[in-house]
Amino acid sequence: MSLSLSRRRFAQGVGALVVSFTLNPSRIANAAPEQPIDPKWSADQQKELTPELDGWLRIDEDGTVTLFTGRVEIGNGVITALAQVVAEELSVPFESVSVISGDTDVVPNQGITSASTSIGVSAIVIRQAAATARHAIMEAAAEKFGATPEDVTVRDGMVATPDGSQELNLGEIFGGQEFAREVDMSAPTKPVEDYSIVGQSVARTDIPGKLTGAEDAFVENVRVDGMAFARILRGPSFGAKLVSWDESVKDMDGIVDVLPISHPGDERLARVEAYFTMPGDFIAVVAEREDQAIAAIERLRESVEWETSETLPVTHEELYDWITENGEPIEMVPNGDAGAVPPTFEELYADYESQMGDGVETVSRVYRGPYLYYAPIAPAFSLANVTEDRAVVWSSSQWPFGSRWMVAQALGFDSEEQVQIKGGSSSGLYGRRDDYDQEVDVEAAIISQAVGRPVRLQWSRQDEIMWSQYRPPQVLEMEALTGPEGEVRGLHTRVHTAVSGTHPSPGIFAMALQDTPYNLGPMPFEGFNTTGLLRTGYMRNVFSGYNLFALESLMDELAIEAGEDPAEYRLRHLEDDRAIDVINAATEAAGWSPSGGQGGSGMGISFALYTGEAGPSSAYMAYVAEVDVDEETGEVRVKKFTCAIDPGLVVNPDGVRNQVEGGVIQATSWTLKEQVQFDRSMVLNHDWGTYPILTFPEIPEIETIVVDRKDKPSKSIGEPVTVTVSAAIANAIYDATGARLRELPFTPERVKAALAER
Amino acid sequence: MAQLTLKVNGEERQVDVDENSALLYALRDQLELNGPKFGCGLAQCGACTVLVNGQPTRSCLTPAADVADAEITTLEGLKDGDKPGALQQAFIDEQAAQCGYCINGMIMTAQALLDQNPDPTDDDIKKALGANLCRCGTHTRIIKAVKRAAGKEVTA
Repeated sequence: MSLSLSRRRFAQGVGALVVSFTLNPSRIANAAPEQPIDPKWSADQQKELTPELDGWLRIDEDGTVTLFTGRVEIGNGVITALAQVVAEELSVPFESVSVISGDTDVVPNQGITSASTSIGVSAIVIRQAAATARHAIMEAAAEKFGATPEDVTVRDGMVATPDGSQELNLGEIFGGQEFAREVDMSAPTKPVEDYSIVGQSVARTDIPGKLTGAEDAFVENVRVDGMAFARILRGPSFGAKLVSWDESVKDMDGIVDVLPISHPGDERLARVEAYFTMPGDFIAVVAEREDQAIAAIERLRESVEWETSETLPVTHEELYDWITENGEPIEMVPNGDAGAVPPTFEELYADYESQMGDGVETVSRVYRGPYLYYAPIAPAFSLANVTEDRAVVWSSSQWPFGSRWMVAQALGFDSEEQVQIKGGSSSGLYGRRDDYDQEVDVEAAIISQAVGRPVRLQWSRQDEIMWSQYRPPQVLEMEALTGPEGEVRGLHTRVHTAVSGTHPSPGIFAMALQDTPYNLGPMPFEGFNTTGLLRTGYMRNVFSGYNLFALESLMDELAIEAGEDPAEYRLRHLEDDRAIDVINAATEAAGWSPSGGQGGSGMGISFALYTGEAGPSSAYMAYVAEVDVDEETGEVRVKKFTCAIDPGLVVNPDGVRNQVEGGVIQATSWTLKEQVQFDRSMVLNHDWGTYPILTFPEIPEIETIVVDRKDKPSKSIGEPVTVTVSAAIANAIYDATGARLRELPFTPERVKAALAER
Repeated sequence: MAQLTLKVNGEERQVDVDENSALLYALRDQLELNGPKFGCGLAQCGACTVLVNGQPTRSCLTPAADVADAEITTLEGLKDGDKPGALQQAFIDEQAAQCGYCINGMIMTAQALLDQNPDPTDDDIKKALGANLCRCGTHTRIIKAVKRAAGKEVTA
């Protein structure tokens, strides 16, 4: 079908101003591939997908600049940061840049707002778009002024001749015109020393609306004419089959329809089965009012009959043994330059074995981490309006284009362009709506299609916990070789995990370990995956959180065996200046003074470079935790975190601090409290009582030192800020008590058990 | 089904409800107020908090019919005309939000605290907000924002 121009009208996602205009569809090259599109685009690939500058930037006659981005605001402040990048590169006041985000009919496809890549990857193409635009503007101004482009200056949105005799604002030069050129990925950019907007703690543009109840602050607030409300009743086990239900529910006040849906069985869901929730029939209730849908669900719940099943091979209590025994070898995704042939496991292991000999000791440890749940405060929601050959879906997806593909597939549309996903600013997700985890959009779409009305589907809190996907568990078997000085001569790691479904990609199981800046000698890795358990996903930091819990705990154990200060021991294995600097910054600010395993109060340190120096999120972090341990109750009180972070050139220092503080608190919650439990039928956690997260009385004080490296590329930090938390706490517990915790979470029972083992 | 008059942010508003219909859905879906959020429907997280006669109340489990005679205040009701109110401005000044979905509950609960205790300590604030959940980890900034608002009130 052809696109009508009127469909390209839209409202601005951030700020109160509403603009509407049309763009030439040919300028926005959102191709409609038949197969799922690969979400992992580099900056160059993002440019290739939308080569025309007009797909990225627009300048109005009043001089305002509009950025179009496929990235969405889920709480990290990226929309503000991307606007800073544009304002800086165009030399316009920050206030004159507005951002339109997440609407698949008008924004460029920039992959997933995920994996800490908005600043590290997407900002690169956006900066180049702005740099290209700046050169176009200078050329146009030079023509108007009768000058050469090199002589034209741009400052604060004003374009002038060097002597200032002629001066026009950006809108007067270029307002309303098409750039009609491609984004130049090598266009010269502004020298960093001239920056006045990037590097400033600009206040986030989305925050005032979120704090005052503005409608456009959250996509969850969207209401459309004729909208009905849907809720879902799911079975008591994975794979539950619906046997019977009380059809009189249809006669309740306000009920529009009651739709039993088979899963597996429903052909629409079958088209996206690889990416859908765990199997299990469900009943959707559609009502005029949300409270009527809830009342009908409650009445259904009393009378419905399910045939339940036990589809899981083990419970959470047997999980670690099961995955250690049943895993299939994983082919590891190697590091290094494209085209370079990395050493094989056999070669690395031979090298590792060759380190053994006189005076070399072997230290073996096992570390474990459970399934974790994203735990967004907002349960999944979607608002879909499906007509015969067209669907509009208001979604909190982290990947509007992935959601577009899923919905088009499920509805059996010919083209993805028949679906418009309107994303933008939504609740925090932490990976919950990453990749093809867009089942709620599919459900809303098929329900809307069935009733012929716009439908707002709201998942319950219980379903949001029990039918989610989860961070896969890991068992890390580590074997270190240490030399006469206690130095590490080699590290052999076996990672056992349990990815079920399509993601996370098991091949990245060694992330943040395989590219550690520590000099640890040869590091052979083996990975093993067990399928057939809970559905998994890309939760914030993926495998690296447990990998670094293990490595940074092990480094601490080795330091203590060597009789050395844990911070000094780490420094001894590092040559990278940036690594050394963050460790020194953290220990100095924290007043590093470990007590050596006694007294009930202690300090622990943890360091990481996230995903290797070349990665999009390769921030350096060193965190010092201070804890009190109550040896009677086993309760751990995290008193303070002192955090040093070097994310390269800092775009927004307060934004970095906000992310560090949030990362510390979320990861402290994982470390002390969180574990997904299940029997052979179902996840057992079902509310905030059974999946508790950290609360106000438990939060630590947090001090953050941001090391601004203007000479290094800006890196994303949403994931990295969480990875150095668990080991810092484990190491601090050891420093306080002499008890070593190697299994997450550190519940009072586990702490007491570790204390008893001393 | 019955029509009910609610007094919300100083105005009388008509809503259609049943006996057990929760206040949250009347506010969000019928009165189109965006402040209170659906978070759990179990009165566990606090995202739906409104003030009922000045008391922080979980609107997701409170029947609308039970508060027909009460003064209901939502996040919108704390604004100062078109501008953010004092506590909201303190949150903006501290950049005390990440995703912001829980913040409605934080601000409404903190407003009730400040109304009763204009000079709260950190522990008072932590205790008052102890049953309000935030997943992004904005807690330290929220505490600072409440203190900032208290300071303003003291010096005003």
